[in-house]
Amino acid sequence: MAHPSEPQPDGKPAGLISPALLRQLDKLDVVSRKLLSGKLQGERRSKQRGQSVEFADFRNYVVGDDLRRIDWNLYARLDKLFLRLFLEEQDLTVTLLIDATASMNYGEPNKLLYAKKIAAALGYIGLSHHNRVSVYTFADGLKDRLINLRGKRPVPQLLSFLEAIEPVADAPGDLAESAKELALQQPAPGVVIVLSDWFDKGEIKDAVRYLSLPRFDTYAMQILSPQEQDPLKMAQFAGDLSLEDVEDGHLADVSISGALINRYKANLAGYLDHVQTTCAQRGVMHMLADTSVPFEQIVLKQLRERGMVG
Amino acid sequence: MTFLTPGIASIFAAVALPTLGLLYFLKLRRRRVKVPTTLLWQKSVEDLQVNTPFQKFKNNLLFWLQLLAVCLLLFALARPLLSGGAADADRVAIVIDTSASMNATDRGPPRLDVAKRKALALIDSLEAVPISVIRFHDEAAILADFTTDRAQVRRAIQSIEPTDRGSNLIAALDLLEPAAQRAKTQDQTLAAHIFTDGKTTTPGSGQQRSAAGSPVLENTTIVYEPVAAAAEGKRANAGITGFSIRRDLVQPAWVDVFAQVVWSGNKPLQATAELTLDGVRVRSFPIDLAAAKTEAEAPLPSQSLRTRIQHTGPGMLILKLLYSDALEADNTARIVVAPAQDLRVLIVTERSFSPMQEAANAYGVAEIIQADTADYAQAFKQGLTRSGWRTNNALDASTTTKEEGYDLVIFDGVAPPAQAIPTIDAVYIGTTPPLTGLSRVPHQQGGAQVQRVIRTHADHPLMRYAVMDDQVFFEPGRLVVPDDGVILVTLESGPAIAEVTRSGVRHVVISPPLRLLQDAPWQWPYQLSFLAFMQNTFDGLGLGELADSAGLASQPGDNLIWPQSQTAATYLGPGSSELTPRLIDDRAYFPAIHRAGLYSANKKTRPPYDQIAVNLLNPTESDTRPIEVLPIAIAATPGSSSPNASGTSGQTTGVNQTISNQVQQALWPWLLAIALGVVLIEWLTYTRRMKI
Repeated sequence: MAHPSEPQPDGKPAGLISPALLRQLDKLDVVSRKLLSGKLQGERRSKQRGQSVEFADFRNYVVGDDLRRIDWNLYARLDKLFLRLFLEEQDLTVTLLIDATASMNYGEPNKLLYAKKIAAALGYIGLSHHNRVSVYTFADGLKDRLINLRGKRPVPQLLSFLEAIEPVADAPGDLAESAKELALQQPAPGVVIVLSDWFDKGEIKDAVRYLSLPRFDTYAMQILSPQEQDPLKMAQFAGDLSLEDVEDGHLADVSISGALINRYKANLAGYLDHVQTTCAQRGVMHMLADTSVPFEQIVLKQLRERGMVG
Repeated sequence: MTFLTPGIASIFAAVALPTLGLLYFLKLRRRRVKVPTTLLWQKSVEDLQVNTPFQKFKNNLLFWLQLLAVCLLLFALARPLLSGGAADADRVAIVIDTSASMNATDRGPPRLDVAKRKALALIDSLEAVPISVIRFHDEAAILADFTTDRAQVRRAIQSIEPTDRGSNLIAALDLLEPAAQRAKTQDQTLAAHIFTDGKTTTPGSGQQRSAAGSPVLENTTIVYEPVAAAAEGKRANAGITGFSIRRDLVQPAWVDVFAQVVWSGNKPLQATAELTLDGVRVRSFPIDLAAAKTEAEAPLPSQSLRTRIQHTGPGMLILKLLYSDALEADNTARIVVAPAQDLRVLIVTERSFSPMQEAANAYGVAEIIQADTADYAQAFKQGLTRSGWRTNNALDASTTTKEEGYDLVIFDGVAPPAQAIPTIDAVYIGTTPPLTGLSRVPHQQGGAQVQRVIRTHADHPLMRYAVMDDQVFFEPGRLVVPDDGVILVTLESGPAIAEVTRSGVRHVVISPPLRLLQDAPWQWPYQLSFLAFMQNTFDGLGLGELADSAGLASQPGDNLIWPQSQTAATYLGPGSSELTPRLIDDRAYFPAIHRAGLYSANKKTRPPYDQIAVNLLNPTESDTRPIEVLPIAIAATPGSSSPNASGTSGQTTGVNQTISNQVQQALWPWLLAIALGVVLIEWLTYTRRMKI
């Protein structure tokens, strides 16, 4: 059986999620580290009291309360009217923020395809548990979007949207601006999952600051290809080269040598540490995803271990 | 230290050094590769200055190593020579060898070009001293007398053309002798730089020359400037040094072909020689020669080739050595094959029988025509010159009764009238032709009847094998010989045999008259020396040599004299060389031939006068082995003695005369080796830096 992330024999990309994986995803749900209020009744406990089967507390009866919620057994013992309170189960807004800059269209396996598959899995998990799922793509700002999906019915719509995402050309990535727009356009509390390589020449602290608003429970997933982690895995990556940034066309003249490669790897490790530290300082959970690792393993194992799904 | 090619090195330096510098100041033209971001690379590399074409120079070991390698290569390209240099002298003579061996290409360009470049480099290194330029092959000539005009000297050197002639260094040193004497009288010094490959014919290595005739070079420093180095000899030379044919005396249709091939390489040679007749291959000879010894004095290994072909008519026989080597001129030898033709001799005498008939018969002259003076006058009117070789392939000349002309005229006791002096070579016995300055004084009554030989010109071709030490003559009389005459035999009473040449016609005069055997039994005509002399006469005079020989070929340096009526206006030879004869009387006098090859008439001409085959056939010139020590022999100044300078094989040296053989060592191989070493170090350094 071919790996879902591998291309089909006919050359066309495989579907984002295989049916077998869908069955495994049905058992999972997106977990928020915060108790966030939703808009509609859902399957998730909220801070609010409401109508559900899960008991929460008692309080004294006041005039006007619903008589159906009076605990008559307690009244018989104590001769006082108490009202039974139940937890309000609300839906969870799951926002998937997908980096569609040109830099994501790189690597083998392709980072953007990898991001789309993870987004498809997380979106499906969210929809299958009646959460509100919104998907945004961004480059130098928010681009395409598919918002307020709920229930399993729009799953095909979600997958079609994800499959249709193309890298945005001539638009240098601006994660801070995109996060700012998201903060302005997404007032609903919820889980925000950023799928990006986080290669941003701006200051990522600004982006993290917008993503770490109190109403957001943000996960920063940094997707890197094997070629980025070890450039020597690139074909014909030797000699005197002029490296061109696919986003802004910036050129860097290098002479490939062992010392240079070692310095690059050190810089990469330093940058990853910088991103992780910045996220940690703002309460954003940082996760590193290597596209050489099958994305099913990311979703079913690593995301569960990190508590994003459960 | 001198440089052979400083100009070329300068040009390359002007290009290479700035280019190397630009390579380090200009950015490399790099292959472009797309990456997700240059964010991390930007921090990793130091040379991120994409908007300017130049970058700051960075002290780079690779740059210095490359610069050192380029400088070494440029230095090698200038071809420096160590310990050469110009001698410290008041006058400098540049002597350049233009013989055939100087055309060898064992060093790439011909040796003559190397010599000219070295000579020009020497001029540049000299201060403002008078310089003379002499070129020599088997003859020498002054191209520029002592002058301080460098442009004139340069032009003289650049005007030197290659030849295929022999080499005679002594002829060049003869020209230096007056300059050396003048330098001595003015208390100056003379330096003679001899640019040669050493293959010269000098006393002791070929032509013998008396010590009294050797040049005396005083106050002179002779510097040997070799143009062939053993270490640089990439290609050796195989050459044809002998090629002749001769018809069988009994079966004239058969032609015997003889040839000799020599080899000067230090490895054995296996090649093929091909013999063609009129363009058709006749025979191939496998050439298998051992390696030649490196000592220049050692004889070259040689292989004799011999074959026999049947051919009755004229033709062109070509022997070609199918081997590419350093010297092209000696790889081909040509010979014009003549149809058999008998010698035709006219004997003019008033006797009923001339002893010369017996001599002619003994030699094998096929046609002997005896005539009296009246008949000679008639023959003179009809023309004495033969019309040339017949082209009807006739072998037997006697079948053609109406033969024209003669090869030789012998006057026995009668002299031709002044208006009928022979236009062909002639022999006069007991009489003299009416030539200015030539006369015969008869035996005076009372004088010694028997005269002994006191001197003979043994080197003269006519006297070859004619031993006359114990010969006596009976009432020989004596000759009065003009200044330009050559005395062959001198008796006690005076010259007895002499040769006088007028208008290209050779007149050999023998003073003693012929007498019958019973009158004087000891007389010369009945001695072996007379037969040898007459054989040399038939061989050497007139067309006798041509008529007797089965083939006709010349060598560089020959001066041909042909009948004017049979000669074309111009003969076109190899390259751009051509021969245009001067026409005097009824003869065509060709200039000296410089290049070997085949010369063809520019208009239709009867064979064999339509082509001139010129072959090198010179073992000395075919020997391209370098000589480390120049064999110079210079006569000592009487009354003085000086030890031989080292490095020469000469005889003696004169007062204040120094002979030095400064073998200039070429430095470029060492420079090239060092440059390669530097390049290797640079490569190792680069590899170590780029190691991933």
